[in-house]
Amino acid sequence: MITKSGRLILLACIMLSLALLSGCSGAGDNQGAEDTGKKTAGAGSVDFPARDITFIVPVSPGGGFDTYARLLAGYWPKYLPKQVHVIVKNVPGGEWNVGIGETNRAKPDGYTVCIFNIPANVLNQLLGADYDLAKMTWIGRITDTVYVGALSPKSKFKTFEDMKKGGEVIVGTVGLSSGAGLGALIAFQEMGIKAKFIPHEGSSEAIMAAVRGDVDYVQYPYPSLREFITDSKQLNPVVVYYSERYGELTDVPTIKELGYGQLLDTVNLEYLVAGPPGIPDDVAEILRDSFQKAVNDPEFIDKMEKAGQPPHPATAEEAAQTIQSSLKAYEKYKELVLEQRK
Amino acid sequence: MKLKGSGWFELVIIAFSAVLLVMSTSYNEKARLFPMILSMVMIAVMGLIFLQESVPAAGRYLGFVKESGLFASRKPANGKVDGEGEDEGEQTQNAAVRHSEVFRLLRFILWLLGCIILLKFVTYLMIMPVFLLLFTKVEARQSWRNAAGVAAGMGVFNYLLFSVLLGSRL
Amino acid sequence: MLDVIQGLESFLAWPTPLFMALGVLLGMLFGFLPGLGGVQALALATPLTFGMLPNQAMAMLIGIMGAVPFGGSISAILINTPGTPQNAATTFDGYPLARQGKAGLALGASASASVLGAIVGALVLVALMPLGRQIVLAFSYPEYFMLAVMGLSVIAVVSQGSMWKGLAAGLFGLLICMIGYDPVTGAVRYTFGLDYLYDGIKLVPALIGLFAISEALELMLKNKSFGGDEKISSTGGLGEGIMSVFHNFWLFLRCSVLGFIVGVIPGVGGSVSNFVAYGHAVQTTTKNPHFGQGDIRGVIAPQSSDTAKDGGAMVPTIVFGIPGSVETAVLLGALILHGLQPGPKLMLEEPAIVYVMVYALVASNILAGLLGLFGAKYLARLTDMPSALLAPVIFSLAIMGAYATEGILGDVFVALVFGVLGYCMREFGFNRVPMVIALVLGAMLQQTYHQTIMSMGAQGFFVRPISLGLFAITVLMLIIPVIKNRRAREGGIPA
Repeated sequence: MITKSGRLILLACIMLSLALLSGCSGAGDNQGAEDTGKKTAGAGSVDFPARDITFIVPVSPGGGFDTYARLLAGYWPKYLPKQVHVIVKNVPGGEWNVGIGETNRAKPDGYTVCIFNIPANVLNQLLGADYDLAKMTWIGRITDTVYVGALSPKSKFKTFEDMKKGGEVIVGTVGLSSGAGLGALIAFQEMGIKAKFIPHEGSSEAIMAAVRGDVDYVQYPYPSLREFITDSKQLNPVVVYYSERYGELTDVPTIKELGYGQLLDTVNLEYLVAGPPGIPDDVAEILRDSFQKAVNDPEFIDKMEKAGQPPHPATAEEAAQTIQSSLKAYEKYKELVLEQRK
Repeated sequence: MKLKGSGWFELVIIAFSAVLLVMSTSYNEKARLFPMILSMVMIAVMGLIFLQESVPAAGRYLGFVKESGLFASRKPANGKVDGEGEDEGEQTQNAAVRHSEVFRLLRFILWLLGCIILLKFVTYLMIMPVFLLLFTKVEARQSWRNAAGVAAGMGVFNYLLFSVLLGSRL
Repeated sequence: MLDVIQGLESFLAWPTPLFMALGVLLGMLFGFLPGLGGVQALALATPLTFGMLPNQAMAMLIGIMGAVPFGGSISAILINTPGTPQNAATTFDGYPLARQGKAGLALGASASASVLGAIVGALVLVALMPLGRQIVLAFSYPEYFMLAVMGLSVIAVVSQGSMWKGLAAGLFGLLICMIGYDPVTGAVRYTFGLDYLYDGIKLVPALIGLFAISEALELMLKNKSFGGDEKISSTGGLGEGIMSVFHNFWLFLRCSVLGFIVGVIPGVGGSVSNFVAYGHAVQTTTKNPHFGQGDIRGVIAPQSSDTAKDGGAMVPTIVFGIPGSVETAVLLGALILHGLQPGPKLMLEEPAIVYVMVYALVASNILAGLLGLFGAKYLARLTDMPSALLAPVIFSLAIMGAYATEGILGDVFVALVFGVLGYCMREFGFNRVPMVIALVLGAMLQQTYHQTIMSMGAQGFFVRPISLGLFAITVLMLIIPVIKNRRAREGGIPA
């Protein structure tokens, strides 16, 4: 039988001890991290980060996403209020679903972030994954990349006009529910070109098929095709999905010039970073702020360029917007994709 | 039903193939081609093998099933060939032995399963030595000293190799 | 020419050879321990190489890759358990030799076969490099399909015991390959609602189960013991073993080339090449064949093909970035991480590093061979360990091996399932070899079939010269021995 005042005192004691405990553990954790003295505005009240951050990469090591994530992980700590480590954790499987699933279920405390493949992950979601990209706490975009369409030198088609004029174009893809594959399907439909799609085990195999001449055409992000287009003349680029002439591909017409600028909404690839839904605003702000600084770090930019992809970053708001518009844009293709899947 | 161990095994495989066959009908044209054909042939082949081994009446006509490969070499001395199961005579004699063997096998499976499940929750550095200690003592019927030695040895080995040298985070 | 020398300089520049040596130690260890293999070693060592220069990283990783086949042969010979799946065929004759007190002979033969096989592989690799592009490009869907068919027909050659049971095993392996998402047919099959099965049954855990776990189950349930078998611990005859490769030079050479060829086929590696080589040896040996009972040629054949295959696997990997084997798949990831993009660019801009890799491939085998031979006596003591202790250790290693590859518990579960399956198969007379070959080739068989039909129609298989040629070889491979058998039987000579 505790009296009313007794209960109040008990409550006060509990709250006091809880406050003391959290204070103590906070101080304990701080011993591991350096204080750079660089505090971003608005971060004064929250003690983040107090330990290492896990950066989930939902694919196996090696390859674009893994490489760029690791590069970023190297420069991100520099701009965090405390220089903890950002550690890449590969979680491959289920075509991105396993890694994203793990991120989705992680505690939204800012210590788990993940790299995303848009619009491929948007497709995953529409095909029935159990996460909602629109709810994730978006941090920013590392870069987007430009799609290039290339013809095999052995193909009877030599330019884009040839393809439009007639005959069936044989296109190499990795199945029509992959980002690149669907992009090609949509593009050819819009342009009214008859196409037959030959699926392959992976993008390398599809590209090889074009080099061999087994397929006429492949459409992939520039970094994948670069060695075949610029380093050696094994494939002939015929269109670039960008608003203006791109980089080294000065002779290659843009999709806009060819009159199909609207395809820029669907044929693209963005490397976005986010944390699970529900990260508190102040923590999210620290992450976003430091992220922007990291992707604009001159050394980071230099390394990305050496890796073949000059970064073209964007903010968290822009990232969130991309998600929204992608979800909407691809909604109408859902039927198309499901049909292919069956 | 008095079936040889191999008979049960073959029946299980036949059942499994039948399931795969049924499921294959729900896939699209291209996707179902190989699974359908493969599972049908599998059922046929396994069926013949089963009949030859376990149904004496049919076995007489199906002697060809026991034929060796086109280029079979002579039976190897180390008994490693996966081609020779026990023949009829030994079978009935060892019936009792077989029974206990099945139970032991099931127990080992449970041990290993338990290990796997625990790995989900506790780090391998702790689970593996514990598993080794208990398993070696109980199932391999070794002394506590031997079991502890193996457990400790592997534990240290795992630690040094995986955590220290290779710095992996498992 | 200059590149070859520059490559040698880079390779010998300290501390690169040290890293290679470390790789060799690691590779031998992982190779020797059943349940752990080259793939795990490479996967775990790759992060270690982050801080290193590309040359050093490659030297270490190739050091691992090169040492694994020989390391695995040691356990195959001494304790009848292949250290890695690619040493499975080595147990067929290696262990009988050990039981006859000729472990030294077997180890010596394995060592020299591995070293020389690596040299052959390296030489062929360097010779073919300029043509590498043409070769890989000449193979399209029908050619890969025929290769898969040819590989599967090897089942008929190496099948011991009932042919029908071997066929069943192979069919089962093919069916297992149908599990998961298949981009070529666009369907998700047989996942039973499990996310893990979306990617299908992975080869590495399955093989760990089939060879290591089933072996351990066998040990536990049969209470076999090698302990106290004096004969096995004797390691005399090393010199004789080493020379045996020269006595059987043509067989060795053919098997090395065979291994190289198998290695060039993308995705097909050691697990198939060792059986193909063994089968070839069985088929072509006329002088006093006693395979399965300690025929030294049964050790020379698989081991030389195992190391030569590494050279072959480099071709598609370096030239096109398409992995030639499971090990080179991991290597590829490491290459990219170090900023080395496989492809024509690599050969043009950084040829030296390719030569560094070639030198490392040969040198690692030499070092591994030396270490193995000197350590043979001590390693042989291992056989004194009672099998009751050995089995739990193997279980533990197998679990670690399956878990360490990608850190996924599902893999360990798959290993367990295949372990039980492997045990049952052995008990009931089903040969595991056809299943292994089918597991490796199944996906390629199905996908390239559909791709051929989709792009060229059924005629695609028969109008193209290479495809037709491969088909003809396969038919011959199967028919000739049947004819020989018939003739022998008719002539009253026991077959």
